[in-house]
Amino acid sequence: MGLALTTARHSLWKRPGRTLFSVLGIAVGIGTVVGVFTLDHNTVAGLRLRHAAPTWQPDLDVRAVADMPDALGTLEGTDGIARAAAYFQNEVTVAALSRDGDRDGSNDTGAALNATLLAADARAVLDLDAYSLAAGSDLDPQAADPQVLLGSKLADALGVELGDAVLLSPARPKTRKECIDGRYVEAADDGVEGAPGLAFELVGILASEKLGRRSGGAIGLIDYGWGRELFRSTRVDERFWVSRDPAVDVERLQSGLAQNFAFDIERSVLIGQTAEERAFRNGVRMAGLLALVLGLYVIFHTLSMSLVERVKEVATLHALGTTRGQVARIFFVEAVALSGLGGLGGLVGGIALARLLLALGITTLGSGRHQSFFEVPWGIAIALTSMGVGVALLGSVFPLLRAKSTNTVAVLRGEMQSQRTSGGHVGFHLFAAVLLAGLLPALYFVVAPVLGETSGELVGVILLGVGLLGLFVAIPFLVPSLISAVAVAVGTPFRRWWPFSGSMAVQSMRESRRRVAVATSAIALVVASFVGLKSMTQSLHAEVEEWSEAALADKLFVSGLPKRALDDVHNAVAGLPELQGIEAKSARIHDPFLILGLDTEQLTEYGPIARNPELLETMRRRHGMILSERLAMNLGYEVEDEIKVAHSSRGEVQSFRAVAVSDEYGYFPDPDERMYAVVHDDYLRQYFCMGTNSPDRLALRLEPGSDSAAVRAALTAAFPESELAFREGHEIRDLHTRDIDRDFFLFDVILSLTAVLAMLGILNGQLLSALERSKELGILKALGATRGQMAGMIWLESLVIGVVGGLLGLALGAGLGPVIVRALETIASMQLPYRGPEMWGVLAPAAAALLSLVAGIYPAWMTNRMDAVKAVRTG
Amino acid sequence: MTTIARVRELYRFFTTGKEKLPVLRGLSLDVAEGEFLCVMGPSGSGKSTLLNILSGLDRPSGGSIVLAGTDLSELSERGRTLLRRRTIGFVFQFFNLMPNLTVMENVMLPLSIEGRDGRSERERLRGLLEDLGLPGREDALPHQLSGGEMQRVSIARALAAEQPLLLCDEPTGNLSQKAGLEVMQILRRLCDEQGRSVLLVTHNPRDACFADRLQFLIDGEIAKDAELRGPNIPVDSVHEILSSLAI
Repeated sequence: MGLALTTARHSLWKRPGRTLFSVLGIAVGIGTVVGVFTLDHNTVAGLRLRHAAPTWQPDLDVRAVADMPDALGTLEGTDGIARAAAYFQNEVTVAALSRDGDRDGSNDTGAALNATLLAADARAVLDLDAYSLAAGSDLDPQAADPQVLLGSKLADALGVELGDAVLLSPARPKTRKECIDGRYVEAADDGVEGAPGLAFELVGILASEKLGRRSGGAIGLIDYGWGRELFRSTRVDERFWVSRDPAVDVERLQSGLAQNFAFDIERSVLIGQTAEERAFRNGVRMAGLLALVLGLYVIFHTLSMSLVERVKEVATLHALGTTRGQVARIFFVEAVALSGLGGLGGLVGGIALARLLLALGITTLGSGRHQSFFEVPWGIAIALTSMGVGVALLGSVFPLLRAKSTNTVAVLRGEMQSQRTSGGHVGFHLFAAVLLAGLLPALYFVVAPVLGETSGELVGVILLGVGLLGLFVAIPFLVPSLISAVAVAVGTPFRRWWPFSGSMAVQSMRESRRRVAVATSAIALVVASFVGLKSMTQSLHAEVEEWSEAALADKLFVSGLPKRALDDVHNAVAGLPELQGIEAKSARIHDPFLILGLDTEQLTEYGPIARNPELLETMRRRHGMILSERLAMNLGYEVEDEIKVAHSSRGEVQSFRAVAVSDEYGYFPDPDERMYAVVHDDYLRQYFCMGTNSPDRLALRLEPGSDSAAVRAALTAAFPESELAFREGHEIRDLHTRDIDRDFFLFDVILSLTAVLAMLGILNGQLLSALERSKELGILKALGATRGQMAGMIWLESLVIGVVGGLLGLALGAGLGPVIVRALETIASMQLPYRGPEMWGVLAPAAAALLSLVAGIYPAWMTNRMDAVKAVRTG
Repeated sequence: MTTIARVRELYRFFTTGKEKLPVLRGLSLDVAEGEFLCVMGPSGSGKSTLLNILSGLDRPSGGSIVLAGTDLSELSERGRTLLRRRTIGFVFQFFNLMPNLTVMENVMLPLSIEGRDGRSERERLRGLLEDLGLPGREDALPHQLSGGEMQRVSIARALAAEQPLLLCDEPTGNLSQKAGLEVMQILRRLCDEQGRSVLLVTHNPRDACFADRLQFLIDGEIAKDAELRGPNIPVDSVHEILSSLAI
């Protein structure tokens, strides 16, 4: 091993450029993917922490339609439900029983305290991990006698210990009001008064966390069955704690539940899980995979070419008696050193990158979200790093094999030069194609599975991505001559202006077909990804523009109105010729999605009601509901569908009928929610007792093309005491389009890193080519070639590679764009009008050419440092 | 006779660790136009270093070199490169042909470097190749040639841009005796017929026989200097002169 270590150390140390850029190639590839996952982990974890409830909350809190038979069974049969536990919550009084007291409640001692009682299925609640114990044991679902867990504060106040008996008695709750036909009325007496208590054995003390924190620790938990026994003469509001199955998308879960249940979803559960967010996060992960593949692609070729450069060294060592195995070990040690350093650099760099991006407010759910939370997901970070290092090491296998088969005599006689173009790399490219386009993505998806359901569409998109990678890995294998021929054709005209540099560059490209093909493919891959991405963002822009045409055009949004101002608003703007209608945002509920109540009489001049006046009556009298496009798309609703909305604490559910799908009514910028429905505001009054004459926001629809000045002036004059704020629809549209650019900035960052990798690919290729041809370059210097001519050769070749790669990438990106957009539509349940990359179609190839030129700087410098004296003195 | 290369008090040290190793120690010599000068000496005597410095590829530690009337010390690296390109043709021991260029492309390299249109020169170069015994080999690749042929291509390349001074570094060192003899005859002819100056560095006394003058280098200094040709020196006496120098 001594020889291997010594030789490898010298090789790495004496060629600092190659060592540095090889390590950089691995490090940037691994660093990007580690950075992406660290960023994603912190994005979701940080937001969940921020939105986490102070006590334990289930993923969903579900209520069934009234009198529904076997609600629990139906719920458990719904897609996306992992576990459900029936529960109810009531007020009780708790008193300690003397140790010798009987358990019928006749012999209680001590003072009775009020507490909140949760009765839940003892077995299911354990699975939900809803509480922790400070002492004692869990509830025994099979226990013959009633058992209770008490909050630590309550137990202390009662002075009870484990094994003591406590008396629980239904307490009369505070007067409860229900909304019935537009009026709040006191709920009917539940028959609590005088209900008998039941003695429970205290088997556990709840820790002051999770459920144990509720009601400040004044809480008790019993099995559902005993709860029903305790409240046998009382109506209980049965509900369900539900944990969701993460393998099923939130939209499908919502859609399934909406048939029979009303539900609240814990906010933190939704973070990063909506269709758009999943698409975005999956996109970021795919970009990470792209960077990893490109990084390893670069290192593969670096390792491969490094052998060509060192073939004489290998032959000399062999001639001196070094065995083939020892030669192989030298290369293996080098590969271990390069991969290890690159992996370590990538791990540290990736973590630093994630930290930096978070500090800049860039997350995997968009930009502008600053958060201080940061932790390293060591498991996945180390798994990804190990995977990258492992694949890089596998990449060293080919040079090992080549090293073992080097013809010593031929090399020492200087006869290996002609093998440069002999196509000896075929096996390597086949090997690389299998490894990088097959094994690596497979491993990657094992380590980092896609977010959301693995639907056929998603599989299709992933296969497309992997296929694209495979194509690029395979291009140098399949058609190096074609790529090289194109590069030569592009480079030939330059000979007119720079005869020597042009001729030598063309000659070099003609000789090194695979190197040119590899570098061109890498550039093309980045440009294609960039063009595809820009096609997607341009299509998203177009979607916003189309949506804004319906939801924002000719609208003036007003905020800062005083209370009960709707009549005054009507009076102020009445008769203004510019006004078409008023949308007043006063009443809204989230059950389970945003429902807005609007006065439909105000909407007769535009939108679906103007086009179909019959809708006015349907909306007002027959529970009509107009759905926004996003809502209909995401939850799969269509016109005529029945939509259930729970409207009272008694579990009553009201059905509405979808009568139209349109964005023309109901959008308000605060909160910015495009998934909503509009009903007549009478229904919100009737079912939710919501006042509808006190809007805090208004949207005034004006005649197309009219000036809003008169409306602004009228409102300002009508409310001189208020600081009204006005926003035009186009301002909001611009904000949305800016948001898209800001959110997708992360992709720009990742693709820029892949561009750096492609640059490293060109740089490494040219550097190794220069080292390999050092003798020739030295002779040219001896023959009188100037520094400018030598550098010109390299730069011209770089430029041609950049131009060809850029144009190839543009062509592929133009084809890829529609596929990406269609895929995004499928994954994120969106309708996107396709737009091409527009100006990026020019900028991306131009940037590729520029980057390529930059990549040539170091090799050009190295070329000029070639020792002409040494070159002409050696054979 | 005009001097094409004038070397005065030339010093060159190489640093090995903390040691400064003198390779050339105050060496002076002249190469006249049309002269064939041979520099001989044992390994490490400084022959190749002299060639490298003379061609501007390396820089001296001290002393001066005037090449075609221009003092090299006054030139930048670019200036030295341009002067080398115009003035010097190289013939190397290992031929140093571009392996993937044809014979004609190799020969045209100096013109190409200068930016001269190769097409108009092609006929002249074809004639040059014929003169050097390489008719019809323009499209051959170097590995298709024998050693002697490769060296002749190398000479053709050194003559392509019509440089007045040929620096030949062991041009027969890698050739058979017969091929070496042919190469030396060509170099001699170039001096006699075209008035080119040749500075030959060699180990081989047989090659030295073709020179006009011989300078023997030991430890970086001219140890012996002898005229080998001239009006008063019969050609047959060259071997006697070399023997008298104990070479």
